[in-house]
Amino acid sequence: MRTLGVFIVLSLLTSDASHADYFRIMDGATSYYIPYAKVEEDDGSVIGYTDAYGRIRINLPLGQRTVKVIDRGVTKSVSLRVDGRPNLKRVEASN
Amino acid sequence: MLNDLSPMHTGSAIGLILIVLGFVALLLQKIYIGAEIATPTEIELPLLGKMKANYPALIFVFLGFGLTAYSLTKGKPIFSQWLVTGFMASDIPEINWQDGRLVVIPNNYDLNVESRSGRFTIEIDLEGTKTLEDAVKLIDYSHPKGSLQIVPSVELAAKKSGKPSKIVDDLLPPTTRNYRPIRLEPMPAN
Repeated sequence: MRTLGVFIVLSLLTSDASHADYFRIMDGATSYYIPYAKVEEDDGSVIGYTDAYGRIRINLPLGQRTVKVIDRGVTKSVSLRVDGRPNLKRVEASN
Repeated sequence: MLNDLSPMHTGSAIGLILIVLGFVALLLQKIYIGAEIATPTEIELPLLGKMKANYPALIFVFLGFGLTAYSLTKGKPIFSQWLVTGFMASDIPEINWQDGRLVVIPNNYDLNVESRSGRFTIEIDLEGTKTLEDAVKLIDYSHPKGSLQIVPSVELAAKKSGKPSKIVDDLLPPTTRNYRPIRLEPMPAN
């Protein structure tokens, strides 16, 4: 029992694990999503691309972060919260 | 737009300008009087016979024709046809793959998705020595229930460095890419 408890505590402490969160990136406060856009972290590393419906699966550690969205040469920023929940979260891209 | 001009277009444009300049020069020409015989200079040309003219104007015209002809024959771009194939897989029962959309970014290529099997084929004509990875940034399949993506340059780099790659390592022509079955990433509904 103690071993199990130690295991659980250690798992939680070392859990910098990435979580698969799903986002739909919208063009500002409009009802239009941004398809086929490249999503990058601030350091330029590519997270992925949105699909035809503006959706993207993001594997990053829990927490709030700002990422860049590049749509047809225009770079916008998006603030998103990775919380490990499986729902499709709507986020807005802004200039 | 200027960057899109091929050598063929450039050569043809210059040739056309030379032809026009040459004809203008011929129309406005001064007839040069031969110093010794005091008559207009005559030139005998093969096939065309004799003509009164001056050499500079003629040179423009013939140079223009020559340049245009050369550009049209030698400057023709060579295209190679690429074939990209693969399969999409999903745990969603009875999924109709044609409910989704397969797109190549940048687009304007022939795409086909088989509704039951999830097999896809893409035919792309690429100019010169361009490869699939040079021309295509992203292959995306989006279905209301999920999506999947292939970044060709990433997959080829992984294959070349011996890392796991979606490219099937079989003996195919260099202008072919065959991808392993790729699972549709289910997307939650709103």
